Amino acid sequence: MKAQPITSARKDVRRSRPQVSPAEVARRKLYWPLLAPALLIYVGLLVAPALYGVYVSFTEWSGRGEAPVWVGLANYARLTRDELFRTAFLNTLAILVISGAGVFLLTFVLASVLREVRWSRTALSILFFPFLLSPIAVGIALSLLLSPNGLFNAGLRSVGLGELVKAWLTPDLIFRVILIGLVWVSVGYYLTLMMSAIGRVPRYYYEAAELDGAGRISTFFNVTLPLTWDVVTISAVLWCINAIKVFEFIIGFTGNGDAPPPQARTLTIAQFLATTGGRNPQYALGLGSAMAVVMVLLISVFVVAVRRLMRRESLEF
Amino acid sequence: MTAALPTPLPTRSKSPLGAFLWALLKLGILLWCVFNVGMLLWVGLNSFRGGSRIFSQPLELPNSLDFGNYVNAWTVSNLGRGFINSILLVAVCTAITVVVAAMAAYVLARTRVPSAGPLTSFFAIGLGIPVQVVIVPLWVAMNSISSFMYDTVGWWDERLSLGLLYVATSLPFAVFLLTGFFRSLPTELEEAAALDGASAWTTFTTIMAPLARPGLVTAALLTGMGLWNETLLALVFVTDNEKYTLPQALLGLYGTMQYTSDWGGLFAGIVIVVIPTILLYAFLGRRLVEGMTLGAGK
Repeated sequence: MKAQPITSARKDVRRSRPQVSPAEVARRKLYWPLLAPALLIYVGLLVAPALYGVYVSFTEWSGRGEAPVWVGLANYARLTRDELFRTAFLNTLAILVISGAGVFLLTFVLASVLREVRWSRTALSILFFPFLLSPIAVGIALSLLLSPNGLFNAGLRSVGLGELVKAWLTPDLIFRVILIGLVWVSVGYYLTLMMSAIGRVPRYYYEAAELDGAGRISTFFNVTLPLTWDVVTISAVLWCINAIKVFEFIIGFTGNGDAPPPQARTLTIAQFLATTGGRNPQYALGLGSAMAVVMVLLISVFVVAVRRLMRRESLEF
Repeated sequence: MTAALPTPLPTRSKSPLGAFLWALLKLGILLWCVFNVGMLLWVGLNSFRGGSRIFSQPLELPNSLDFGNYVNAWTVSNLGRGFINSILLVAVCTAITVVVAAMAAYVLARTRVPSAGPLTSFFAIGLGIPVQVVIVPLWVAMNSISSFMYDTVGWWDERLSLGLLYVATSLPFAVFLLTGFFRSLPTELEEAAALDGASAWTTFTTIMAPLARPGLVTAALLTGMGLWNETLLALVFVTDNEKYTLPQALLGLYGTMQYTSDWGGLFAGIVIVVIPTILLYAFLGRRLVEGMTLGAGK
């Protein structure tokens, strides 16, 4: 099995043409002028503020006039004791792990089915569209559907399943519904990635598997999964980043940007409420920045871990 | 080298149980699709119904095609204002983002200088920076900019602050997407143009940018759609009702529901927010999907 990362191939091409062409000479003159606007905006409005944000996490600051006061690790220490923050942190982890497991399990199962049916294109586009729509609108619509007298409960009653009727939006159930809702919204995207990867697998692998009498499960594990492994890895990385950033869907679903119930809060919502968000902003900017740093660390840890765990020699076909 | 299929493989089960489970899975997918479409229909139908009956008679259909809810949502609830604010912000910010990103991506992808590779990666890091880290410093910075502007010029618009941030937060992805795109374009035309004495700028604007048009359109579509749905930055940086973006106005409308119970208007509001995206998906769906899978696919 020969592993050949794409990047090394590109470098070979570069090395094999050392002489500088006229077009290259002309381009080099424009290199900095064309790059400068993007670089300035990116560094000035994202990179520098991000670094300053890390500094702010070590200070106490209300941001209104006075300067930030250095307090060392006090904000982080406070976070470890904060009951509300612990809930938010665990909720974010729950989205990452529980919803993540749901998303990928369903993606694999649905992809295996859709690979073999004629209506896969139509089904895929229908499963995909909730991911594109405004998460605020989707969250609100879902919460209206599940409201005590909403269509969902009314439907249950009308087909005689009245005992299944629940108050889905009460604090003790709401987060479980959010976990499922996020799976519902997200699967279409990861399924689309998976299906386009499956589309690039040459047909004869599947034909060979069928001739060998492979069952569907073994075809998935021996053909589909190994040959789409790169895309599965990238999907997992994307999931980690997206899951930790989830915000709008929950704000829409809880319908109340001012103060979603503590049970439904994630890191992003806790951070929003600690800084400038909600009806009574706390302006605890140091504390909020510490939460943001925790988010970055969480993203980094998960992305690195996923890449480590999923590293394989890439298959060529 | 090919992927070896391990042998021996079990034979495909022809068992009735297997067939039953397979049929069940297909039925499940079908029901899921029905649910998604049904959700759209339900929101659409309720947007024509009277507010009080939506929850007292959840299974009822609208009895007329009354656009009153839309008129209310658009005017009374200020979604019209939000719609215009959002359209303007999204259009301007998308255009700026794509132009700035295309210039940078072009030179990053095609100039063979030592800093091009590291700088491309440097932009890619931005894809992983959660906006939460920058919100606090930028909120303080924007506050001082606006008070400085009020003191000196006597005028500032929160939408300008938001627009700046929209361009900044959209840049990393646009640069990432377009770098890949410019890299895939053939070199011959560029060389020919240079031999004919065209300047690099002329080559870029008259040859390379038009060649890259499909990529630019994809970048614009994805950037625009992301900004259309963006709400966190809007909630932090825009406080004046008149300047709310559309999702922000919808959220505000939902917040007032407990007092007004104008549920029909809320459903109409949801339709107003999602209809542009649905139209875009209906007409340019394939290109959208290609763009969204491009980064992950290759």
